[in-house]
Amino acid sequence: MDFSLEDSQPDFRREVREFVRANLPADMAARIRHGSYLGHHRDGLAWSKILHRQGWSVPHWPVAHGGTGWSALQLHLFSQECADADAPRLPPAGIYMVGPVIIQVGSQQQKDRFLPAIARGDELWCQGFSEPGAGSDLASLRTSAVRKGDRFVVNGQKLWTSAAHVADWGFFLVRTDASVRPQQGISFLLIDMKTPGITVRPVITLDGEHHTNEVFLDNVEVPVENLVGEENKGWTYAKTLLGHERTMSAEIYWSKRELEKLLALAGREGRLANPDFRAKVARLEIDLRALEMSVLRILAAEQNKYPADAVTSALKIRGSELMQRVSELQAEALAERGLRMFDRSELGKDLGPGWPSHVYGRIGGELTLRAATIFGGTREIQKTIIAKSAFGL
Amino acid sequence: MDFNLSEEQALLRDSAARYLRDKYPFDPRGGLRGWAEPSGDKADWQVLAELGWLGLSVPQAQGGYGLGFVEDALVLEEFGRALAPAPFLGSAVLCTPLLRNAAASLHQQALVQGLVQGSTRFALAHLEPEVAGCATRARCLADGWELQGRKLLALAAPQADVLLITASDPDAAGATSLFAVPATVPGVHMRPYRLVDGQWAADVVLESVRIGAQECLAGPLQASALLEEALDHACLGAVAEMLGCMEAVLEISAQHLKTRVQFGKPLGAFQALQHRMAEMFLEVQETRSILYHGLSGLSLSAHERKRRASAAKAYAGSAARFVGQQGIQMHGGLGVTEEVAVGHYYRHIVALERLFGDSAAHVARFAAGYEEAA
Repeated sequence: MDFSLEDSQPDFRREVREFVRANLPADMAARIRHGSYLGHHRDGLAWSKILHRQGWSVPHWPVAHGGTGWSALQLHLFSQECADADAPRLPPAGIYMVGPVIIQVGSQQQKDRFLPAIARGDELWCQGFSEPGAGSDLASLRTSAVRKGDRFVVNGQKLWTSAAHVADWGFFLVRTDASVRPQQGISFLLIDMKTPGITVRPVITLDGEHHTNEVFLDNVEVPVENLVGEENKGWTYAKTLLGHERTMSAEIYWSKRELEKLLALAGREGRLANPDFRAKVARLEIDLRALEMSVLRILAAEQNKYPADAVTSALKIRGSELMQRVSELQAEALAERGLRMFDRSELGKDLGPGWPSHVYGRIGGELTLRAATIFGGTREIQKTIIAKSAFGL
Repeated sequence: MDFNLSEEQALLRDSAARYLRDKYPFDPRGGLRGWAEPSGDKADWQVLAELGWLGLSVPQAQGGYGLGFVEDALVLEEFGRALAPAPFLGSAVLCTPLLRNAAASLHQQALVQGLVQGSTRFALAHLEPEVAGCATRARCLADGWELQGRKLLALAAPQADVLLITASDPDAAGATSLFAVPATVPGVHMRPYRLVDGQWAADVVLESVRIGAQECLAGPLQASALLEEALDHACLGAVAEMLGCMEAVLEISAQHLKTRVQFGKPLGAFQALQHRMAEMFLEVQETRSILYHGLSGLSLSAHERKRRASAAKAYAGSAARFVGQQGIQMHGGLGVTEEVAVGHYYRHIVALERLFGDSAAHVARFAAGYEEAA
């Protein structure tokens, strides 16, 4: 056993910190500092571009595809340094989801076409999984793809397609065989979002923002070379995709930075003198310290007596709950002033006496994150996974 | 960073698990756990010494094994799992850091050797009827000290050969010092009783107790810091024991859900209980993590050590109570009887959550860092 993280790799940390300080645009950092968890999709992409100049845009990928070859600990430190400096989160759909799937089962042609564009930050991706009738029960999805010569013709409707309105490409789960068990007739398709027949309708979330969409696919023609892996194996690929970054769902880097923000905010607002509020903040910080150690245990490849998917699900549940608690306390620290809704155009503007810049975006942040225990597999689905895999219930 | 046990550590954990499981099997008719007699079981304690557990974190130069507190925690986890009655935490683990300065004199070195060899059993008498402060007085005499006062809830005191006692010296502006008092010295009166989990404690009355000058283990300049350090270790020890209890509750509850049939199906088929198990699992995972966080603080500054120990104690106390309570709930009516193990685990959890400062106290101690930072 060796718990030492302090003082580990000081040169590495300094290198990352200095690069971020010198290259992160101030306006981008300000949008992240005052914005909500979901942030601005284009900022994530622009940040990828900047990191690419240093060879750091897809740090966890294999070196052959542009990865860094860093250790798990270095990846951890890198993510923390970036988050602490108010850098945007890297766009997850390309870098953490479809990229690794293409690396694993994609054709050479797909690797050549898509991976460099993701690494360069040239193309933004979105994920077309959920449907109006297929949320937690994803395998019941109905969007169909019928093969006609060298094309698939896709018809159906997707929901909760974040960034679809700005994305260049989407990866979609579609039904290619309706005669077999639901999980067995699903395929994994890459679709150019500019293809005729695609209509994107905004779905405005409780923060009043446009993060996510409904996507209608009406006779959308997709070349067969955009099928990833084998036909009807899409469910398997989707499941490995969700397992690729086991510690990502904890969002520890985001929550730690937001905790620092909360402490500063609550201090300025004089709220830490209130024993009830103070205890809530302390309990949050304690829970976060435990969660960070849980992430490190996975990164350092601890031999855990419990199955990996149960451990990952526990991480997702606690991580999402802490995101909600930290954003909730930020808004609560502002008391009545936390109620004011802001328009994006008001960011960085003088809001008048009694309205310091730190009030901007807090209530929106809280409302955005009610989604945290829903997206990526609801808390309830995660609990069922744990009961099954850890206890055989 | 490495969270896997070394070969030696795994060996220590496994042998502790085996020995304690065989030695203290669960007895449905056994009543309150813990030793039957307040004076304990000297032979039983001697075995702990022979196994090497009493000297794990004592430096080799003082006759110990020179390992770290991680090793103590590994053994304590198994004490929790086995609900072993020997007061390893309340006696050896709590008192070892208090004797750390004891290299000072030959007499004090002998005390440490007695601790490691199991021939001298220690207890800390620290708490007092008045919650704050130390009203027990130590008066400096020409050839030693005279102690006068009253201590409450001294863990493992009824079996102790030597009591470690905090007392304030009026000549040193009331600052606290630490003394070693043989339990047989005239004027030491003990009133033993059991706690909710069966472990023994005592109130100690000191009436003009005279001891030699060499029995002062730490003077007013060091005693408070030493005591705080010992209590931080004890907190982490309690967390490790609670973790052992929690894992055991998790296991026996899952077993119960699989075998108990109601409405024609096992309880484990009901989603309400599946999800409860998942919540308990999560708390166990996070308790192990916060234990490691706490242990990592022992090699850092005193400030970090305190914050991390408090974080661990605060987290584990609440988590363990939750897991214990849900374990009882899942067992139904049987869960509130002495006839199944789950309630015995809960009694021990209740005690461990409260001892050395409860969760609320440690949340407050942790949050004190917010002022220092501001």
